Amino acid sequence: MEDQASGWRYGVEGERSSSFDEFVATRWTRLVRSVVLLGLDLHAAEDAVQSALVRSYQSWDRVSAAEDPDAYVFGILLNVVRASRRRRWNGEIPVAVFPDAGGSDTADGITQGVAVLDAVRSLPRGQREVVVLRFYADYSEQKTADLLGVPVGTVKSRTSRALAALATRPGAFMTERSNL
Amino acid sequence: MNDDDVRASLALAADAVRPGPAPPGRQLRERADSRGSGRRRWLVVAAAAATALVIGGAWMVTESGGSEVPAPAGTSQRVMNPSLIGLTTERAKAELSALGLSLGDVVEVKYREQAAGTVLSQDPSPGEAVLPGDTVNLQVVGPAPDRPADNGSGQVDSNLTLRIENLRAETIVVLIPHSAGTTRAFVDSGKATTLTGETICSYPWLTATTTDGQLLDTFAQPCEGQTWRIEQGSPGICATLQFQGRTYAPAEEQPPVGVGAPLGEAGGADCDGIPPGQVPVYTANEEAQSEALTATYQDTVVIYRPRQP
Repeated sequence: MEDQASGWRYGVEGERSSSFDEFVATRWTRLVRSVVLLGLDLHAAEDAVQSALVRSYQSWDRVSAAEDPDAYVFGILLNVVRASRRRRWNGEIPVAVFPDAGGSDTADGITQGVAVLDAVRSLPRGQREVVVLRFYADYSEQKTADLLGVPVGTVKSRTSRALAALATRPGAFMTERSNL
Repeated sequence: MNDDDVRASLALAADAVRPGPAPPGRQLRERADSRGSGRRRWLVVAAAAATALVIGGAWMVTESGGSEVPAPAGTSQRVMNPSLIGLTTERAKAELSALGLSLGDVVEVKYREQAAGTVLSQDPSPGEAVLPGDTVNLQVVGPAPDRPADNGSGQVDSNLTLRIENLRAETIVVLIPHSAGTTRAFVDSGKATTLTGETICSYPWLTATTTDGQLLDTFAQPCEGQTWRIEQGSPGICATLQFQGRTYAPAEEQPPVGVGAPLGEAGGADCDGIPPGQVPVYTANEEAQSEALTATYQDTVVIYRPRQP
């Protein structure tokens, strides 16, 4: 097939793989970060995102035809993360992604980002998912409810409880941007 | 605490997470294709069986004195356009060259979450049949956008003064904070100076690239109020650098100073001769006496020295 205007050629399969590759390249970092916020460690998060992307490609026609392809993939990712957590669950949540190599256990040596990460990951799973979807992935209450398969009212109540819990974490959530 | 506070805090937390580079889309597609659905796998098996029957039949005809099966005309010179998405521009060029293809237009776009030089899309599309000599156009991540001094970011907050020994002329010191999604770089003049914002501000614009041509960092323009910001370009950070015509490599001798997480997370798979995950992690050396550098506990410091010819 020839696009006369640009002289560039397109093929249906090539276009499909190209759009997928572009999706991977542009969404990878954000998706991995979402999963880390959801509670997996970095390597498990990268594995989960890879698995979700592989599954997404298997139904890429449906993904690309979806009203919101990102939300479609995020839904797949949530399922992968939940399955992964069921397999890996050992009753503990990693408290930090990065080692504190400085040898200090005081707040001076811990960045606010890591403190926030720690705070979010200390929430119960349901509240954590709502916080990440609402405030990091930036989905509406309705979309969050759809993705999690719960009523909107549940999203609202979980959000309220999560924010109340986070507000009790000194130094993690601040009312103005720090100078990090 | 309102919703925007939560969003800002989560963005900060997310910035502290440094995933490795995105896997090539081609690799994921191949995994998806190799899994397939049960029905699809069955179809593949059936197709393979049918192909084997056809080939077997053709072989029997040939062996029994029949005419050879001609190869389809006009397809012998065509090659499949490789997927270059996720590669560096230089690697993409090498892949094209290996297939007899050439690099066409390279359009740079601004995109923060991938390293400069990373291929975002290509045309013709991956998998399309192309002829040797054809050109392939790329859309790649451009250099980090210029930013004015920003008092709200890039400033070390909780300071830890580190001592760096044996700084030499033209030593490059790169500080990689895990906290704010920024990279700070220092170039030492060889004099026994304290590396402060003021010192950094005395240097001109600098650009460093890895030896495969990938932009590592655009060092920030002299700053105001000893504050600076450099957009991240972390993949390849532990590779050698080419800077002003000279090649630099991470110091191999007794590590200088620095603290923080393994560079593997920030460095990705592009480290020159250093396997991911085995990148040196520098530890604080409080006894070193000669130079001072401020950093936080989450930061990593890499010292580059001129590579011996």
